[in-house]
Amino acid sequence: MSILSKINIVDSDHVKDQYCSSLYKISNDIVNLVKLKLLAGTTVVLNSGSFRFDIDAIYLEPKYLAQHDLTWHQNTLFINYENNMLLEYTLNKINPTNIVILNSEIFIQYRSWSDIDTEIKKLKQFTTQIIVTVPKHRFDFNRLRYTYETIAEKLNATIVENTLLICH
Amino acid sequence: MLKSINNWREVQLKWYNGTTIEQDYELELFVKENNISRIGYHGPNNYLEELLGSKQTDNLDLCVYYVNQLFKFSEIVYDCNKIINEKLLPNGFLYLTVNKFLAEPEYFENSTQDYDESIFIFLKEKINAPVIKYHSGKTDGGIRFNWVHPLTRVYFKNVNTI
Repeated sequence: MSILSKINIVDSDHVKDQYCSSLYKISNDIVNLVKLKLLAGTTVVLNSGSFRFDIDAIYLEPKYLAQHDLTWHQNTLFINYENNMLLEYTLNKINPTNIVILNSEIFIQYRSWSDIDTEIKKLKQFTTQIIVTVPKHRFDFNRLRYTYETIAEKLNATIVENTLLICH
Repeated sequence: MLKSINNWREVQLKWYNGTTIEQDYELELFVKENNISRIGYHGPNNYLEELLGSKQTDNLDLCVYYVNQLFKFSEIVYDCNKIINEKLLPNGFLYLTVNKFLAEPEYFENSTQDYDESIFIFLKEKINAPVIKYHSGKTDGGIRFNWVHPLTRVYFKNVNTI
């Protein structure tokens, strides 16, 4: 008997399917809202499934997916996203005006709102503006103490449909 | 909703060459170790019904309460107390598994900063049966099949004698 306790994302034969399942659905309305908020200049879209969007941007996706036959946006670069130094180097080189992360489990990881806030602040160092969307039911906060509105306020976010839209 | 969850379980088992998900296995083991025969279910969980067998409506040795859709903790408490008072045999068990990400926010006066701790305190305080076993649903990075079988799991024992 094989008892599964954890997913091993990278070493699975089904890595492509797993990745696609980790990209949470996002409505066109929210994508359009994000587009309206973009500042003029270079945009980097991070780990969000580049094949899902038509935003004029450089897309950064996990290196372990490079060989998989997804219809990646033509402007997609693959990097080892767990290597922070490499990510920082890449972002420094690109020098983006906007960094965008759209409903990405790789980024959210069911983390707490405060950890997400910390990660956003780290990435903000590399850009003028960062935009992140997080589905309401995919991150951690004490639902016996706070409301979504309180958390949105702490993150300086707005709630659109079932999503927190963070724009710093 | 249920269909998609069960399909998702099958898909995950197939992808990772598994026979069973850890949470399912632990529940199955609990049933065996406690010689449980009369099992009832609250909430949609065809898979667990098939896995554990039985399907009784009252005089239960165990009630399995599975919550993997939008819910309120206050409603869960109401249901749990009703099950304990009306469905369980003396010394029967209630197994509660909840997907904490799907809880509608509601204020609990004794909540701490920690969500998992607050859930435990809330359930322990409001449900009229002692907790005999508890698994925290501490954030796991999304890799422990919470959306197949929720990680926040509590076993209560009915100590009422009537």
